[in-house]
Amino acid sequence: MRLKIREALEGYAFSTPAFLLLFLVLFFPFAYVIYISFFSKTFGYEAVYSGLNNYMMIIRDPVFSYSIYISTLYTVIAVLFKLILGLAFAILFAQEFRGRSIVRTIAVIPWGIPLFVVAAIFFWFFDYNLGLLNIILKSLFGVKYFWLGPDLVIPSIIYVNVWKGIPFFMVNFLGALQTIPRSLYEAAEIDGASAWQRFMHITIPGIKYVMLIVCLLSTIWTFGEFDTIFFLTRGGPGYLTHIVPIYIYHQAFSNFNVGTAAAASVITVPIFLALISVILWALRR
Amino acid sequence: MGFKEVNWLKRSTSFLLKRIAIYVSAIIVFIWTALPLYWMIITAFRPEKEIYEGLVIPRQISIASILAIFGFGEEHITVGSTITPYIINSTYISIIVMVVSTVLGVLGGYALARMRFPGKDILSSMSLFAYVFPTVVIMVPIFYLFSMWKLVNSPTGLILALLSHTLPYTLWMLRGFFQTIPVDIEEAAFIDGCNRIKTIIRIVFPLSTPGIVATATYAFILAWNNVLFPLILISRTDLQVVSIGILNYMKADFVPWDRLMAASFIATLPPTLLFFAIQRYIVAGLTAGAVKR
Repeated sequence: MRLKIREALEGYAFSTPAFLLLFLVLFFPFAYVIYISFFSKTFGYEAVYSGLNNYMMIIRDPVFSYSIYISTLYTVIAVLFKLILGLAFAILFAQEFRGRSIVRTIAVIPWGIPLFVVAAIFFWFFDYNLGLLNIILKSLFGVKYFWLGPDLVIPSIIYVNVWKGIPFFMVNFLGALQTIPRSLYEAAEIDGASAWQRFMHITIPGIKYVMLIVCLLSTIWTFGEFDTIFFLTRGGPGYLTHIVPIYIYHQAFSNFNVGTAAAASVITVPIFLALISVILWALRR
Repeated sequence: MGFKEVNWLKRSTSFLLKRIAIYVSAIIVFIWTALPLYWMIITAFRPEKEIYEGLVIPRQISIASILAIFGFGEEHITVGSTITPYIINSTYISIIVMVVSTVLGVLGGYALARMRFPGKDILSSMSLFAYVFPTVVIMVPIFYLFSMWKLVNSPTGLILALLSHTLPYTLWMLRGFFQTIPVDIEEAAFIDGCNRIKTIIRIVFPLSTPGIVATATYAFILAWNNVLFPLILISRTDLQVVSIGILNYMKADFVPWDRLMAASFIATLPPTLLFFAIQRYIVAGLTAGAVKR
């Protein structure tokens, strides 16, 4: 009994510094954002209690509905592409071929590059007159496009996100593929299973947990990511790429409307909580 | 031609087709990944005037742009003048964040992995939640509260804000690394008369050094790569970090492409090289629970 109490005290002594700090910089601010979302508040002025007014305002704001819509669309398409291409890359690198390790190393590089550098690179890569993409298209097909213009900006930001995100999927899938016993494939081949059947009945079931967790993590991070789109388009042209994080930023730091920015932050929380709960559940299983 | 030969021919054709498919895919993967990177490196290392000629392959190599962003050689530096102070700020801020989140993460992570106390599971889940949760949600209150606490435009404020992102990560990862150390070894040490602290220093640390080093390194990377907190908390140029330095180049009416790419290249070296040094530990990290199955 005395030992147990002693151990519990030691446990608190060890973990208190970390969680005290987290309370100060994370849990308290998190509680505070919920609190302030019920106040009408502009930087420099007193906060006035306003009930659900902020929530009413953003729900009626067409820009906010659009930002939820565009964030969802952007996230779903980007994660889908990352899943398919990440799996394709992983299957490629599971094969033996000359130069495999060097191509694989290069394919992982985007994971290691900071998002703000990815944004800078593509800002230049997409440039209308001098960017590499248009130089290549001009010399091959004689066409040039405004990649960050109104018509193509959504596919372009998805392209950037997919380029950056593939290695995370690929490396995790590659690790999972290696845990599938070779004998399963050999047995299936002897039984006359086609390559597609082997893929559907051995490969996919073998990596489905990793697929689930990787997809959920990527969904959360893609939905909540601010850096690349802010650097590339700042939410424009017009409101076209006004994803939720950029909506929150603009409410707070361009319109100086803390209350509505807080309400917009709070509204997104259930989405993230639901996704994270599924991850926790999957990790525990 | 006998049956055997036909069969052999069929097999070798399909083998050949498979080899061709593999090499073609490998070339596509290579081009897909390398093209934007090539464009950054080539722009950073060619003479500035060549950029406006629209050539894919440089005629000359030059490090003038790299020197220019550090304030050497060029006379007409306009935007953001030099990135040297940004690099210095990013470096020392990231190092402090790394040290604090590792020390607190080792203590807390060990407690979460090994000690039995009420509330432990909740704290564990909280650290995962906190790590996975997007920082945009606390952007508004962090700015608001830090304004009241006089932590805006202060390195301390930025460090504290960054810790909200790195500390949950170190806690969760180190908890995982400590769990992989066999309990028997520690129990043996207890029986031999070592107390808790002695056991940790003599047994646990040496066994988990790679995990601690990798986690600390990734905390450094997270701090270096962060955009949101310096963007909202720091407006003084002399306190600004490298991510916002890059943004300043991009915001110019007339973007200095060579310097933007030179600065990007320099800014990406520390995190990318460190990332490759610790990559295999990170991969084993968050999804480890799932991969093991």
